[in-house]
Amino acid sequence: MPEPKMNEDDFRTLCDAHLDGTLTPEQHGLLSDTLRDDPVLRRSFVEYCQLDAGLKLGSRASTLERLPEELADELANAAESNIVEFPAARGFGFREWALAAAACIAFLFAGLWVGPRLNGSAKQAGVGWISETRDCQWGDASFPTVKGSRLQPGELFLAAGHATLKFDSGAEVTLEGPAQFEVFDEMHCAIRKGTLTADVPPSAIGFTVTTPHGDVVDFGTKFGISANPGGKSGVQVIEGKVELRHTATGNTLELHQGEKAIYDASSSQSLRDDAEAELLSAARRVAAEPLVQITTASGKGRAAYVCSPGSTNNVSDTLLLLKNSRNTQYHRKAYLGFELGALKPGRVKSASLSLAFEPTGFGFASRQPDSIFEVYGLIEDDLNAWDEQTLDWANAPANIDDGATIDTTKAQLLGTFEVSQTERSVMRQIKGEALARFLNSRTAGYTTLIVVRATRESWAGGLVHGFAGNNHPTAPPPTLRLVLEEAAN
Amino acid sequence: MTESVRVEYFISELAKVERKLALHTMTMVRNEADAEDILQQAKLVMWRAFGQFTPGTNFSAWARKIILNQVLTYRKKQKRDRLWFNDDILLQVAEEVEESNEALERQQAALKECVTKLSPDHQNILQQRYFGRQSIEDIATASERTEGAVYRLLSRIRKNLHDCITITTKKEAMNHA
Repeated sequence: MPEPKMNEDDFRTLCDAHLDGTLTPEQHGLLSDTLRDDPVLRRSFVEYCQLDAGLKLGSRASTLERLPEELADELANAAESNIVEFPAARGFGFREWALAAAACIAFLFAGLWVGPRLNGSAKQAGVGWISETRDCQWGDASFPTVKGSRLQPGELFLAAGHATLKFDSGAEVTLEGPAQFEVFDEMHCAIRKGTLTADVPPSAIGFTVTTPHGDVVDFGTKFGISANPGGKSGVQVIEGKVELRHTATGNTLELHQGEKAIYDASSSQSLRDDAEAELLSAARRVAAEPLVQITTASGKGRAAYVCSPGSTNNVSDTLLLLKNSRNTQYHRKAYLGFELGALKPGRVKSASLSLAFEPTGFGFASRQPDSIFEVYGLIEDDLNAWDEQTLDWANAPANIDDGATIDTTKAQLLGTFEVSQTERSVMRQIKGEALARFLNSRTAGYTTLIVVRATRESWAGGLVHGFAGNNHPTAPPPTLRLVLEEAAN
Repeated sequence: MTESVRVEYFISELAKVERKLALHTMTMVRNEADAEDILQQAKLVMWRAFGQFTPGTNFSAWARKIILNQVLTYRKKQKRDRLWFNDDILLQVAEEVEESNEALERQQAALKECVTKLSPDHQNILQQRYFGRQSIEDIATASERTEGAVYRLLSRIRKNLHDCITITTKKEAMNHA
């Protein structure tokens, strides 16, 4: 039996209170009931809201009409991706490439980009902390990743090991490397790739994990996700209840204790019978993807730099310094040791070496032109046994007493890159055939790369360059990324 | 399609409907800061799901679905001290918004016209409230009215605008019939 309809004046009072933000809980209940039951007044309500929205938006350029910074990054990243040689590495957080690319495609954003997020500053204080780490090897991360570090909105890549992140909302997420993960706020994170388990107390109900093809919204529970951007992802509820919102179809699946769902770009499917095998195989496919990331901080990796004799000042514990000086003092070259481990010779399809340059604070940039750097690979594997503590100008393998010269009977040139006069915090990398070939011919399970600055300072007192070594608090260590041939069975 | 072409395509599709999507989100979500958060997040999702968008189909409709999803997700995350409609009502309202979508452009054009027909005093109040984002209290002080009077005045202005829009769009529809 339809109840007597609310008269229009009373209804308008409710609409006004809604638009002015002055609704009391009672009025809110009344408005809810009316909207549910009366299609005519519902239409009227929508018209009022559209009118209000139109007035708010007015003729000004609204902050709503701009691209979020993060999206600009992703678009830039994608636009740039055709010059990235290995598509398998896309999405692995090379934000620096993206930022550089953003400048190149800035014209595309004409009229869209109005500046940084207004509420960005409120987020600086962090949204949780890294509460536990076990055998962690970290890749690129937007914030420090040692145990106890505050979580900041941003991306992180866990190459290996397990890390537990405790959000301020109370939600706890354990990542299993390799995993690409992103923190938004204390109630929202994303797993781009890899596996996590989450334990969400009642205080954090509504905690949302975005995955490549859907959002998992928690209702106080324990659950696991295995995310695979190129294929099937899976979510499994260990305890409690979650809701899976499938992005493409908009479908939602409610999953209870013990239930699982498998979903990909086009569909989602709840599996109430035992589908563990499929979930596991999805997880395994992620793990088995033949991309390897090795840093000088992984395993027996090492990183050091040497100075020519007489260089007594301007040293760094966190940066590996590079300089090609005008006199005999203050030359600097960097040595990077990578444990290749079980990598079989011949399996490397493509490779890149990334270095995170940071300002050293030493020397004047005006006395140093745009600079070319060279990366050499040590051919003589016997010379790999250098030690970080005792390495010096005289005993450094293949070193020749000069600002940039390397003994090419012992080491070969693998690639070069450039850093312009004004660039400070930039990522640089070399990639290509020479590096891959070089790595493919290593049989000792270990390799040494040498970085020198080929460009000499214009006058004495020129800029000292530096890139992050193994002890830098925020920037990633020198990193080799390898795409491997599929293992022959 | 190469990635860079895809990016260009996405940006051009988004740019075409961006204002409408903003309007749409603000219709669904009254609070501007909330609407902004939701829309920003939705744009990210649009890009990440862009592989599932069929070129040539209605991007705006596809985008609105994603926005609705984001509204529902966002609502879940809100603490209880904020008044939100529950999912059922949000969905009903969303359906209504969808239905009125075709008329939206005409309605907004009519709104512009109707604002110019208001008395200068009323235009001034709207200007202060919507463009200047002044509080009711400030407007009351500046215009030597009580707050209650300002609320009532705003209510009357909205009703006038609503009536004016209804008449204008009806007339247009008759002219085109």
